[in-house]
Amino acid sequence: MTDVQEEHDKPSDTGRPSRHAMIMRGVVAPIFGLLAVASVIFGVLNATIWKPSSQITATTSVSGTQYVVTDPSVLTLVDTQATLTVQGQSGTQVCVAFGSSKDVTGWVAGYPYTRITGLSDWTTLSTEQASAQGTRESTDGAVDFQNSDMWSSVKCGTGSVSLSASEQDTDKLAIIDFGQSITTPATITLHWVRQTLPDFAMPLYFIGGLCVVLTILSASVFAMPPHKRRKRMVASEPVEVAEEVTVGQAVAGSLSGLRSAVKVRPKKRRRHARRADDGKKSRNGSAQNANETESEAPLVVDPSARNLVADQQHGESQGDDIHQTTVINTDELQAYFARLAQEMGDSQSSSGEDAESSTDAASLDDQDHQDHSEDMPEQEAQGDNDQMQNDHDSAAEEGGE
Amino acid sequence: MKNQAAKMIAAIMSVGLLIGVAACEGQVPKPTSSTSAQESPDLTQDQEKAIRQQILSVINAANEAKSADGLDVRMTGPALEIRTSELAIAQATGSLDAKTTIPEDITQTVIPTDSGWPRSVFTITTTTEDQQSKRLLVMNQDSARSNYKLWAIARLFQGAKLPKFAVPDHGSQMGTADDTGLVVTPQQAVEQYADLLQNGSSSQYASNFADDYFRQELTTLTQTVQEGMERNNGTQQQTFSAVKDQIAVMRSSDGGDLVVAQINSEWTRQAGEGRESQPASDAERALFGDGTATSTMKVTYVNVIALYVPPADSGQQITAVGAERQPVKVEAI
Repeated sequence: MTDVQEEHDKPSDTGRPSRHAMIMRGVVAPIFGLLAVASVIFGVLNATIWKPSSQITATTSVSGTQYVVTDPSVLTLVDTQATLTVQGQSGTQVCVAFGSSKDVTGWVAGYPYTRITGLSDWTTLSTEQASAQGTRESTDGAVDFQNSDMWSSVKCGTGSVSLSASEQDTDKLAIIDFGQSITTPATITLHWVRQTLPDFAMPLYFIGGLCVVLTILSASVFAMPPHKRRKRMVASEPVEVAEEVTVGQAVAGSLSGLRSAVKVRPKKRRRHARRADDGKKSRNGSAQNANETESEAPLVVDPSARNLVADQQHGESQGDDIHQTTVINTDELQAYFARLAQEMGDSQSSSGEDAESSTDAASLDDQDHQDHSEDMPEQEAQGDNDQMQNDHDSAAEEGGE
Repeated sequence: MKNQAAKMIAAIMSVGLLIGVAACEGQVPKPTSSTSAQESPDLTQDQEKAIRQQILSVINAANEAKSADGLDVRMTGPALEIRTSELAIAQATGSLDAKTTIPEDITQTVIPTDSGWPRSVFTITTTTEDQQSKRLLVMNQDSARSNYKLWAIARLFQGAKLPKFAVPDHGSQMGTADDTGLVVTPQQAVEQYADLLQNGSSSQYASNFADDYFRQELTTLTQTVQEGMERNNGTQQQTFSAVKDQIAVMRSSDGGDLVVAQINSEWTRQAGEGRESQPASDAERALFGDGTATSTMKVTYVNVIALYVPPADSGQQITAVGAERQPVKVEAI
């Protein structure tokens, strides 16, 4: 976020971030941040301690046949660097050879054999019993298994034997000859050394990077109010301000206005009352009690307070102003009363009547004061300042009546 | 308590996550069935070399011992018959004929791609150290459980033009004795050539064959002997016959066949009245040994001939490119 944007934000946000921004910065951004950290951690782990093993060893156990043959491409299934180890019965000769598919097929023609068909999982070889087509050749004059010209490589051992394949053996099959059909299971192990390992770390690093970007975005751009993101032109600012005022502040403003109108009234009343007191002092010379109790009574008189003030200010030239203010006051007061009527209920309507009835009265102030002065003795008779609210209500009831 | 429960849940969840992310070796690979194996040559060049060297080591051992014992491990067919005779002669004369030399280096090998048996590998050696012509070696494998054996050796004629073959990494295709699409089938070509050897230029197939060194030499020899026999009022007769199933065919890349076959011949010489028929060469003499000569001598020869049979529409003649000829039996009748 640029400085300019921040400057724009401050005045309009009125110093406090919106709920949208709170969620984005307080919830979404941390989640993305955690995901980013987790991804990087898992990436590092996958590149180190969880790194896929380059050593793959698969095992199976066979018995019942003289020959075991791997399917094409099983020998170099995982990698071209393969080692075939056979652990047979101790003391008997076992031979392993790599040869082409057609040579191996020709050699086992007519014999049952065990197929190694592949990997059932990463540590187990899958096998299958099979019988080779063709007719069994007479063994008379036949060459020994390990002396055949066909094998690209061959090795024999007593008990166990191990033979490694090279890159030339990619299309070769492995054939194992136990010499005779074996009854005790022999263990066959294929071991590969993987040259290229699957890389799980890089995708996680990538995801982590994405999450970092999303964290930053959700803490900055996504946290901004939509209209700010959209319109950054200076020309659009006045519109924004106008919108904000109408939507957000208008309600709060009107509410506060009403509140202040209610709250302010006693002040005005007091101020008004002081002046009235002055008048009273001049007339009656009554005590402060009268001044305080006066503030509860005024509800009846209230609406005309402004007029009275204005009248007092321009009191000397009343004759000219009355006519003007009368015209203006009528409309304003009607609207004002209408609103007050909803808020305040019955008492206002009666006061409104009073006000209307007294619009043309030049000595309205005096009448009010007289009213006050008339009410005063009753309130003084009650004589309790603490019960001001009760008095206020009773006064309103009286006014309503 | 609440804290502990939350910790437990967190621990379980994290362990589950670890198990999911760990234990990753990738997907288990599946074997793919490749069809290329059927098209690959039966042997690599290294294998061919290894086989040839084994054969040569057996032959060299026999040469040194001047005994044919054990030769059948790596030799068969006409090559074995010829070598046995050569060794017998060497035993009698004390030295092997120079023509028995087989160079170790090769100029070309032709490896088949056929999956069945028998299989034949054709190999052409370099010239010998004493500038004898190249040898064409034919090594046969009769079955899966037998090894390659040297079946025939033919000395290629000087300047003989052999057809082109596919490179050994790709492999050639073996032909059969009944291959069609040629001037004649390989079997017929061998039979016609035997007739040509027997009847010379009067053979009805003479026009099918181009002139060759082997026939020239044989004709010269026959005429020389004929002249001598005529002086003594003797007669001589040679019969040539193709040996059944002793034939190897390899298809060349131009559509023709290179055919190597065995032709046996019997040379019967009958001396004039009151005279004995004697061996006609040092080899025959060595083979005859201390035998008692009579008026009639029958000498059995084993001939190996290599013929190039061109495609039918090529307009070419059948050409003999190499041959070997060795007396194997000399008997007085």
